[in-house]
Amino acid sequence: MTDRFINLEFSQARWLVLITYFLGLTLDTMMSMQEATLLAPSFTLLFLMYWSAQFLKNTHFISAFLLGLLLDALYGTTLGAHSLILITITFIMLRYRLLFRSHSVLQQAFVIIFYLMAYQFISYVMFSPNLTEDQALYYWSMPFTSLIAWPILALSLRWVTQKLIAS
Amino acid sequence: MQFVIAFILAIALMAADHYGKLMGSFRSVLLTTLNPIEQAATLPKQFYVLVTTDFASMDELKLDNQKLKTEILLLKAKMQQYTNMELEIARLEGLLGTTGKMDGQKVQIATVIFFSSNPLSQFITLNKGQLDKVDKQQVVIDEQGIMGQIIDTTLTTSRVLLITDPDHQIPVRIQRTGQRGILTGSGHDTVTLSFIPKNSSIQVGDLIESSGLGDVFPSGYPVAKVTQINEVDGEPYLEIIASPVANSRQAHKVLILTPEKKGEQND
Repeated sequence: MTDRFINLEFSQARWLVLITYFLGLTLDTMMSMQEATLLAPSFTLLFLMYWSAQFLKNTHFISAFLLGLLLDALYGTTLGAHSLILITITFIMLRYRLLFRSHSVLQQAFVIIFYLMAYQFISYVMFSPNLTEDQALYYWSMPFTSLIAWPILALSLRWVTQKLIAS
Repeated sequence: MQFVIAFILAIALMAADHYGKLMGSFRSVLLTTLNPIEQAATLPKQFYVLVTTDFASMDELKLDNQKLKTEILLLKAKMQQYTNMELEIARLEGLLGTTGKMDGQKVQIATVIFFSSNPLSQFITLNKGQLDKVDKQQVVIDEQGIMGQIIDTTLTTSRVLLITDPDHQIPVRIQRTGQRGILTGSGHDTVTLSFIPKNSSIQVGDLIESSGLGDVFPSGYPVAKVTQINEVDGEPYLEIIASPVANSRQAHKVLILTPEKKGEQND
């Protein structure tokens, strides 16, 4: 049994996509309530990455734009800033998604590190967060948490989409 | 092509939000959309509070009740003293002919429903919004001192930018010496006091209060306590770090201040 993506149309999983985006935003909101969770990855971005690789016929720029706006409202940053970051990262993902899909889940997790690192780097340049030494360590270590988060997320979503097709 | 359009749109939106004030209502719409998400995010905490409250013993509740009654009694007694002091101050101010009298403030009690603390922003969300006539720039305090000011409102909620947020500044004065400065948030539960010259007689433990300059924050409310004073070579000003007096992490009930209009004061 392969642990890679399964073929699915966007119309078949529209509600699942919306629910996962809601879940991603809720998790990010929960994380923003605690300072120690600087280590937690951006779940909204991870879900966006997953669906960008899953549905090959869609560009996902509208989703990236709207999710970015909601993240801006959540973090109180300039409107459009997170949209810009998510659009840029989605663009890179779209360029390499066929290659990305061919990897195993663990290999994908290693690739996701680079996407999250790009997210942290652009955020750092745009928002210049005032970090203490400990916070800076957490901030730059965050991309490596995808090694744990991505396999759980990808395998769970794969299982759910399989059930969706079966039903 | 879609990427280029989305990219340009995002940059245009950033420019509009940064340089114009047209995006305020749009941000309110986004915050309203986020309300159910914020509520969902606080559910685990609410569940924990509910469970732990249900298991609190009757004795503890009785003890709490007794404590609160005693506190009310003490506060009432203090209130009587304050009324006398207020009259005394008014009499002395009248004698001196000063005009720096603190404006009367109407207060509105609100509950903290969401707290965010990360290096990008530090804010709380309150359960009062436009329907309760809460407006931007209103000041929020707890029983200790100033917490911050309202920056966004929706119909039922409002967002308060805490004084510890890096984007927040408040004109203040040192209570003991009356020396004025600007207090800026650092992003991690402390604030820095700027523009205090090296020859100043500031000490660790000095209380910093709002100066009332700028007409946003009322004068005379406690804001922070000085915790660290550093002298930097080649700099004309001291580097002063202070700790906010308001308990923004634990606060549950807060007060929203509304400046009382002159006509209302006379009623």
